Amino acid sequence: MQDYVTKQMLTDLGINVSDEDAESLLTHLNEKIEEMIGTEITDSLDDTQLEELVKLQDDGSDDEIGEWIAKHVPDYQEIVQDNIDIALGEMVDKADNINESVKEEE
Amino acid sequence: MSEKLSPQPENNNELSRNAVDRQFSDILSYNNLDTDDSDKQLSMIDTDGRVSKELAPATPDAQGTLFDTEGNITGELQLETKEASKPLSEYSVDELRAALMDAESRESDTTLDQAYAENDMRDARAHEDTKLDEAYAENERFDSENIGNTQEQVSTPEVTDYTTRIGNATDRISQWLGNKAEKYEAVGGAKGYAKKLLRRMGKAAYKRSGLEAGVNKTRLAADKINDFADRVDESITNSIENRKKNKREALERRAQRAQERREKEVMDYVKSQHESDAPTEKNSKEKRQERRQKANERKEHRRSINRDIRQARIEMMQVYWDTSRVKQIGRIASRYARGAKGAVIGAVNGARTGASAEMNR
Repeated sequence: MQDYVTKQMLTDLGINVSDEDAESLLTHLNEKIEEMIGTEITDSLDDTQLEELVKLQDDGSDDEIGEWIAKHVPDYQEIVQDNIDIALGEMVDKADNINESVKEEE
Repeated sequence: MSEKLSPQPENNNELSRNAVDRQFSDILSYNNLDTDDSDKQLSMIDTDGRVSKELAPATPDAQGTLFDTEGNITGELQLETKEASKPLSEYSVDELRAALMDAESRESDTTLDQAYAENDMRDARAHEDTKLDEAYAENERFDSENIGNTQEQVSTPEVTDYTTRIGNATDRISQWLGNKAEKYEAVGGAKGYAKKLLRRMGKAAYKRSGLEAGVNKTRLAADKINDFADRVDESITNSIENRKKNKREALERRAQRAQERREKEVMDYVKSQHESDAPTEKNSKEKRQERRQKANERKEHRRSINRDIRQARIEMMQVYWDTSRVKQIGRIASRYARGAKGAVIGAVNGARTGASAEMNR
């Protein structure tokens, strides 16, 4: 899994969690970011293109899928960046809640 | 002074009436002590202790509560004055003047106080209004921000509609998985697998975008990618406020993209409808022509066949006529006829021969 958000970033954002908690939190966050990007890419495709991409996912490599996306989704870079920003922004918004939850568990 | 004593119908408030009351309580009982004609203030009271005609109200309506139409102090006031007053003889002129000035100053002070009070009230009201205006403005700002946020959340749903958006995407992907769903039982069926595909798409797009290189501090050659990578470096060191700002801007951009996609879908639909209409018309015209042509061909074919049949019949009849048994019968008949004629001739000849022989015998 790709680390879009790291433990250091959590610390920078004022989220103080133990390494153990950080691992599950980061796993959730990073998966969520990938899903968000995938969702918007899916939204941008018509049915024919989506069918093609789904078939490619069965047989193709990550690089081939990346190439396909770059070819068929012109603004995919912006989609990737924006969804990372949105996810990080959400995390900042929820920083207090996350800290409180961690304290309660302790 | 005269102005103050003039009846003012509109000025019937308690303060003014009391002030005048106090003022007159002494003067009336003084019984016109002041004989100095130059003193207009006191000369306005006649020798009977009544207010001079000059000060009497011009009309009964204008009399107010202090004076009647004759310029007399109203009964109410007179009664009060009597109760409040002490024998005039006990007052010196100086005391009376002092009392009058005191009353005047008190009234003036009261008026001023009243004016100040009113002014203060006006200021307070104005201040209050300003405060209220500010509060309303603040409220409106708050509301508009909230409405903006609500609209933003509606148009660019992040938290609330996140599940719905993922659900829609997985539904769309699932329909292309079709009967392969069983294959994905281990990852939660078709939808579970669809979610997995979403993550794979996200990961692949991220890798392809060059952001990964940016995170790893690897500078890429392409300027565009470099700029993009810079954004990532920057975003890592961004302050919390900047992250919030980035999020807002990202939400706006995403909403814009979603809007553009919706517009494109509508345009594509309209275009496809337009295109599908045109061929249909063209096809129908061509098809009509084709059908007509084919019908004509079929008709011609039928006519041709009929012609052939008729011709064949004629020919057959001619052939039949030529080779018909009629002709054969005719020939037979002719033969028979020839036979019959021969027989007759033979019989005639035979008869002639027999008759001749008989004669010869």
